[in-house]
Amino acid sequence: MDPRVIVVTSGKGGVGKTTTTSNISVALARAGHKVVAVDADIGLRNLDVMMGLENRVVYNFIDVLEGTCRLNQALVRDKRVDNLFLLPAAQTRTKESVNSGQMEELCDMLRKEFDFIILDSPAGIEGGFRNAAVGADEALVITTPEVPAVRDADRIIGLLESMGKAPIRLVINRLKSRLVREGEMLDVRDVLDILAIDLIGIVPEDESVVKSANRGEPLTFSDSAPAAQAFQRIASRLVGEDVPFPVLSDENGRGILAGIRKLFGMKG
Amino acid sequence: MSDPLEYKDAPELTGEISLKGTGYGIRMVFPETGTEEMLLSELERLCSEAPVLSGNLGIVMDFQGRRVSRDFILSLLSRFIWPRKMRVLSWTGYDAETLEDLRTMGAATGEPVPEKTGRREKQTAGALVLAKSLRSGQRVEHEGDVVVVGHVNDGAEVFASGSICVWGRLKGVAHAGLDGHEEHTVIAGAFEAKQVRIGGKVSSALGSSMEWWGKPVIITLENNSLVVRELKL
Repeated sequence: MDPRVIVVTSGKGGVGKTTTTSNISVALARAGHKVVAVDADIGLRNLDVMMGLENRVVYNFIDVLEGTCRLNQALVRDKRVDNLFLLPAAQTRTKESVNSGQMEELCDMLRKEFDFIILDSPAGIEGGFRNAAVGADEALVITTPEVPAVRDADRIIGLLESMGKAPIRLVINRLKSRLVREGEMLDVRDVLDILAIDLIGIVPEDESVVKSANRGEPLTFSDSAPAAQAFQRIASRLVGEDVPFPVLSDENGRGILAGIRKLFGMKG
Repeated sequence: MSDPLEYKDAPELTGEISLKGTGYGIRMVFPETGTEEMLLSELERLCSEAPVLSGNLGIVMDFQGRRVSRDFILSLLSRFIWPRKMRVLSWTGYDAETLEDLRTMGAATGEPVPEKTGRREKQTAGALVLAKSLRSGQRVEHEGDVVVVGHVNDGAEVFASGSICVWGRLKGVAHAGLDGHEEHTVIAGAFEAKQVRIGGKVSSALGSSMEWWGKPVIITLENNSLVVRELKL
């Protein structure tokens, strides 16, 4: 299997890029693939904290690019999961410290060692995002079902399309069934209607995400939380498994996602 | 005799530069996909195979919706146009940022002005027909009418000297009639925009409470007011 380089991005900040990156990286590694999660948010790094590896960070990928250290000195191996590595960003530098040529070079180095290279992009549409995306082939766009987030996601999808990234797939994060039922939150169909890209996952709002972020333990270490199961399904779909979208129904037993399932030709 | 109408699936963007013969010479149409390095190599190949490009024929560089980098423009000048003495009549496209760069350097943009030949020539370009949706942040400018066979998403903008017709949902900004003539219109398959403009008039008191919201509409400028009529076919 050829190595796959995937950028996780969104446009808007705070919608769950880092949470998605850490959780699907863990899920893919537990499925037996050799995975590196790359924190491409120079100056505002978070992936190390989310993954609970910040105390073991010595070097970062700018050190690798500047020749200060070798790649394997910068890679932090996660002792809890086989085949899972983190390549941290520099906290004391800024996004001007690398150019797109160097990021492509970094991705080429990583392709030689890993099955999956997952790049956690910073928010925004400027140099930080472009550097995170330039070396990637595919993209995962994260959005929440809210008008400002969806508009920013649309912008970022336009940029990814013009950069030639494919496939570009969508994760709808922090869906609150009650608010959708009450018509206060965009439903999945509204979001897909606007963004018009393939959906790869829907992650429900789940308090466990906050707890896991503070503890540095990605959710996909344990199987039970609803969000954990959603991230697990995304990882499975990424490797080509046909995983159905679960039925999320309201108290009257009506499927909230029935319309979506019809869209995908599945029985509602 | 086979039927002249061929059915084809939507063409894949092949990423090739195409050359079209026109009244003034050649139109060099650049694809919207493909990296700039690939395009420059492609152009090398074309120039070696088509010596007509170095002759006296005028050439119009058409970038379509591609956002062309400044480096690319410089490469075109230094690697092809100057060494081969190509005669470029104008640089066109509908990506607003690219047009801005070209205008700042004083390049002729838009359709070439035809030399007086005694025949009546069209002074403006025809309609720009876009067979795709426009995403947030994409901005189209055109001298003439614009037809979008798709949606114009929130955050996208269409500016036309003529009329604008959006087959799908219009959620972004449409500004028609930039040439100052009042007869231009904005047509939408489903109107959901917070603002619409014709000529110098801007209407921004729009919202989902209006009875024609989300419906097909035709918007015109009459007696200095923007008038919306639901399109009932």
